[in-house]
Amino acid sequence: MSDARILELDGVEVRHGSVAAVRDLDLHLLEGEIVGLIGPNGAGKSTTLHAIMGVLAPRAGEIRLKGRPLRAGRPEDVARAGIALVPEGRRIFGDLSVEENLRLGLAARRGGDGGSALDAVYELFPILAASRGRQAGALSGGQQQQLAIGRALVASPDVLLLDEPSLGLAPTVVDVVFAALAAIRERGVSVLLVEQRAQRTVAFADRTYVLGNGELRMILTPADADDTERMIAAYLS
Amino acid sequence: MNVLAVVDAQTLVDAVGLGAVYALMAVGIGLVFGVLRLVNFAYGQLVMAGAYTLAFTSTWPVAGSIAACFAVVIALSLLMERAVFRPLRTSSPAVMLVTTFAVAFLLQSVALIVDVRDDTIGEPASSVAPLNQAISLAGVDVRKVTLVAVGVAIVALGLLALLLGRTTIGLQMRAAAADFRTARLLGVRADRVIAFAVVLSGILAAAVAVILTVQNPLVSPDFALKDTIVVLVGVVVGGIDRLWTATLGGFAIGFATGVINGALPTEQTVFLPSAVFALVILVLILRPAGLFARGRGALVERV
Repeated sequence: MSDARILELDGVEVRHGSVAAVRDLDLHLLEGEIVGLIGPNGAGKSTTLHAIMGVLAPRAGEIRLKGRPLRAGRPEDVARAGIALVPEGRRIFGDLSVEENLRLGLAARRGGDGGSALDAVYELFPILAASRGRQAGALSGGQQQQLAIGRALVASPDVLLLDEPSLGLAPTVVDVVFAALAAIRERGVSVLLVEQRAQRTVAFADRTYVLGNGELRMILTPADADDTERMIAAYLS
Repeated sequence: MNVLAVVDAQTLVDAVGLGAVYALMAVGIGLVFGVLRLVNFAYGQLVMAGAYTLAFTSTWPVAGSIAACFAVVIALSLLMERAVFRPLRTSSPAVMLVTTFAVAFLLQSVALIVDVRDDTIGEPASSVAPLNQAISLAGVDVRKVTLVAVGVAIVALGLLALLLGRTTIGLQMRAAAADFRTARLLGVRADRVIAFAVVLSGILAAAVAVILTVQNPLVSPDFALKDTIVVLVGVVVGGIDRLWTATLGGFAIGFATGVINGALPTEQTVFLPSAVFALVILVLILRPAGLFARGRGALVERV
């Protein structure tokens, strides 16, 4: 165990056909850390998450969870190894009930009591407890986002990946999402947060990687959040 | 000509029996379509393989013969999944459909080679024949196999509903049918869910093999071929996107075939396929997404 790096990307390159979407990316998460990943559209943020989940196979480099390399091509194995993804656009199952959506998340759980995991999520998101029998498709966007996060949490993952959880949500609902992330941090789960809300992410995360055109541009700390020039430079460099 | 007078209780009983068998086949096809987005044209050849198993084991006790039928059909289903469906999972629907055509004709050819060893085409399956006897209920002759078909259909659909609605694997199958990619990201094992759906569909094919063999004890390589085509049409008419609409479609086309068959004078039953397909075209013109579909269902992406 070197310095408790729970997730580590080492020289990762991912291509979409002939185009390199991510190039030579080094990134790591320490235990219990919240790490941000920001950058303009097309910078390679979602591609990075998909590579971690094994949906996309890296052309070069290695992705390791607790020192063990992850194999591409079988996202269910990555989920079962302890990495949970809250996908972009939430991707909840609209025809299934709220509780059924949460029970699906148990598929990746490694042992332990699934019932208490559901209770813990209901405690974190009381709105889900109140609507557990409802069709998930009938929930509002913010409620669906809470469901998507809850569905990832019931697996008790070591690492939680979030792909733009605040996208398309009203400002007050965004507050709810960030409050939930703070509560998740309290539980010791390591979080990799992909966001468009750059300033808020930089202020919230322990460290924030800035991607541009598939490459790592810089790493920001919460102290940089108020440094507007540095933030703008991060995006325009 | 008074058509309604010809549709008597006898016709209705037979039509329900045929509808039940076709509903079972529709569920079998629909289950695999749900998780693989694959229309398995070779489904009829699974039934055919089961029928041959019954024929070749007709000297065995009936229970043993039926058990062998289930074992062979389930094994063949799993083999088909492993050898053909799995490598093609990411191919286009057209490639997958054409491949299942190839598998269907391959299996039919193998059956022919095995069948003609005794220089005749067709093998009698006599052990299950007693089920074809009729019992008289209120003046209507009901063949025992019709009761078995309806009973098996009701029990099988009931069990399937419980399985899909109440168990973890059933929940995972429903999720996989809706959005397989997200289901896998949640840790749902694709291979396990698909294998489970294939086994269930194999069990249904074996049950159909037993019922059809009782009704038609002379087994030949094109056994159940016509039935499969009619059921596939029924499944599309019902709406293949949803298991229950596909099942209703299968039942509906079986029932319609039975009723039209009873209504047409005997010398005109050659017109039966024309009549059924004319009805199908009419339905698809009026309801392109399927007879029982709610609105236009969009196709979901595959694994």
